[in-house]
Amino acid sequence: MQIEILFPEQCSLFGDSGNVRYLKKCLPDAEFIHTSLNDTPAFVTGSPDMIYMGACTEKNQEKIIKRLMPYKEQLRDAIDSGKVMLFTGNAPEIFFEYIEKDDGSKTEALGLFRFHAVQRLFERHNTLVLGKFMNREILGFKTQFTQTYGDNSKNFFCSVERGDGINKQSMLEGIHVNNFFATSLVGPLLVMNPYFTEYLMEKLGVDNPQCAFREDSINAYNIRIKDFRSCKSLH
Amino acid sequence: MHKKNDIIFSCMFFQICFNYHFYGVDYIMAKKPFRFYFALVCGKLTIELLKLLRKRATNFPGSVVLTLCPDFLKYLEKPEKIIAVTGTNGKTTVSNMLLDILTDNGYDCTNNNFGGNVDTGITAALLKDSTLSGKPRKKYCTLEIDERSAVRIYPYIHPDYLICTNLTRDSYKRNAHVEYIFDILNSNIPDQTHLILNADDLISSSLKKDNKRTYFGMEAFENEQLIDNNIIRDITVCPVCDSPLSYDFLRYNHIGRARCTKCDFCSPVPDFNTTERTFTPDGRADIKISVNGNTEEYNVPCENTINLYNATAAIAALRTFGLSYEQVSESFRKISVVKSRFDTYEKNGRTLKCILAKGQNPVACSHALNTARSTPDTAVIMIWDDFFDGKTTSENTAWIYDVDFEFLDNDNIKQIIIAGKRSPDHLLRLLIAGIPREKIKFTEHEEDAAELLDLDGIKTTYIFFDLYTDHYKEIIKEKVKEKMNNAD
Repeated sequence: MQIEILFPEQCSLFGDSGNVRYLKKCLPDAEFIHTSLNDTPAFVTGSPDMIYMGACTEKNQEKIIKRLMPYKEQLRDAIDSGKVMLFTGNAPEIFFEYIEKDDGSKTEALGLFRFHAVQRLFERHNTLVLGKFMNREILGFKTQFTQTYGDNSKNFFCSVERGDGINKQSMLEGIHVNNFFATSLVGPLLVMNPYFTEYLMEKLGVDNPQCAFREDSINAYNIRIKDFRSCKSLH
Repeated sequence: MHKKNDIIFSCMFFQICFNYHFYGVDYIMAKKPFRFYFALVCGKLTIELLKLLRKRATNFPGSVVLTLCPDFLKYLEKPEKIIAVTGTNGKTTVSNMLLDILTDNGYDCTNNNFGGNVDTGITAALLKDSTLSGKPRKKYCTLEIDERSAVRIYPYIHPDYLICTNLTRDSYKRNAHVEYIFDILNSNIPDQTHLILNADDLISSSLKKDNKRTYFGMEAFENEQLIDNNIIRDITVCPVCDSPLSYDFLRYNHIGRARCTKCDFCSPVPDFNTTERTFTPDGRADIKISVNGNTEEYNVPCENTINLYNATAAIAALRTFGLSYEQVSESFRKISVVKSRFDTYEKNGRTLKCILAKGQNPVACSHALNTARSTPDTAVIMIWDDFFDGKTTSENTAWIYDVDFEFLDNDNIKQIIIAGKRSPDHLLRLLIAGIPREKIKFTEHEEDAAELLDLDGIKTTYIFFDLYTDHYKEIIKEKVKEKMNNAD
């Protein structure tokens, strides 16, 4: 099994490398391919079973869009063919039509989804998110400069109980198409959500998937759910 | 007591009347708006009130003043010479060093070393040492300035010298990422400020390219344990051409001497370059600094190599400011690190070390963990939950995945105790770092951490704590000391 990590040097701003390290523990036999900014991605030259990308700075996001633009069709094919893909933090925005900046200018993105992001560098948005995916709670945090706009009512990743969805008015978070998952939840999403990790492992072909440190992971998960439900403030 | 207060308030009232009488309308209207004077007087009264209530210096008078007059700093006259310190890590230590040495050499400085490094704290500090007409009482000033607050500070306060210790990843919620903080500083630091920059930090050394600048740095020392495997590196490719960087040496995270593998971009040459260091058992170090081809020797209060950057930065600033080698050297011998930041206790062949590391700051916490890598038979107690988040929300623990907990995956580490509400998350992080489950104990209650410690076979115990968990640290410290006193 091959798992491609896109641009790990740039795309691990908010503890996102925790996802990769946890996957390595969950899938000890998998081969991890780390693709640097100047490399040709493995999904172009080969066929990894999974693609992951985490959060990056605004300038790096623009560089990455330029680097991936020539491979737009391969990415579209990967999504359509049901490849397992996970994009966290501001990584999903590279698939949108554009990113609008403070001065109103727009950075054209890959345009694979009819969404756009509005970036406001002096309006940092922090919130916890408690949602539901496939009848299991999803836990995560947002820490971002952007809000996403578009209709995800038919392809959202999780419905939100506390916190917010793709923007402050939305209660539907992220995008889920086939096995493509895009969410602005940052950091160790997989560590915090053992059942979702096992779901992804199953999609990767693992029989009876058991995430690493399962007992401690589920214990931490259950404590967090209670905490997320009862805490006074969302940020 | 009441009589004394009456006198203070009467004096203040008299001074306002006096100013009005002699400066007339000018006092009220010219250049400075009435709201400025009103805020000034209210701020002064607040300071006196806090004194009456025996409260220690805080940001509060600054908050009062800025609420009444948001552009108060614009109208307040500033001391003649201002030396400021900013940067992610080390700014409090460097500020303390600057103030101690300047004071020792007869410079009476306004300062914010009580801890308020945002606009309200800086306003409170300047207000305290100003007259009722808004003039400074002191000629000199040292300020620690929070890097995120640059937008609200530098338009009004133009430091003559500004030290930037380093720029690394910090609180995600507040500071987002280094590039963001760099851009804030770069677009707000005044053009005329002389910068004292860390040559070994490729990020902060690139601030304000056209400003006058002095660089400080440190060579790779003989037998130095360089850390080239940190999880995070905030600059990985050349900022000019995106090609990979090649390091002559990498000290920690992205701090070291680097050059681009393709273009001519490289680390600047330090004007103040620490070339040798010898640690002494009293928690200090003898260092040699190369300056313009000469060698200067200092004895500084630093117990590890990374902290030597703080001393080197302070020396570079003070020498650039105009103090002589002898003045700086003599004063440095007299100063020590504040006990609340680094504290040790020894008993019956065992050592307890309490080390402050700013929570939610992965670089600072990794530094702390690095100190525990080489001590034999070690136990580690960590209380790094965010105190304020713990009260109101559920802390975002993404930052612990950028901390090098892998440093604890060593044979010398015998026990790890995690205390706090987020301990189940820390436990998972430690397991992912490869630490055997049987070495780890955890409790939700910080006060109970010492009870989990088994001193049998332990020579060194560390307590790593956050700035705002100091009260828990004190409880744990006393209990560990008691255990050490009663142990064989």
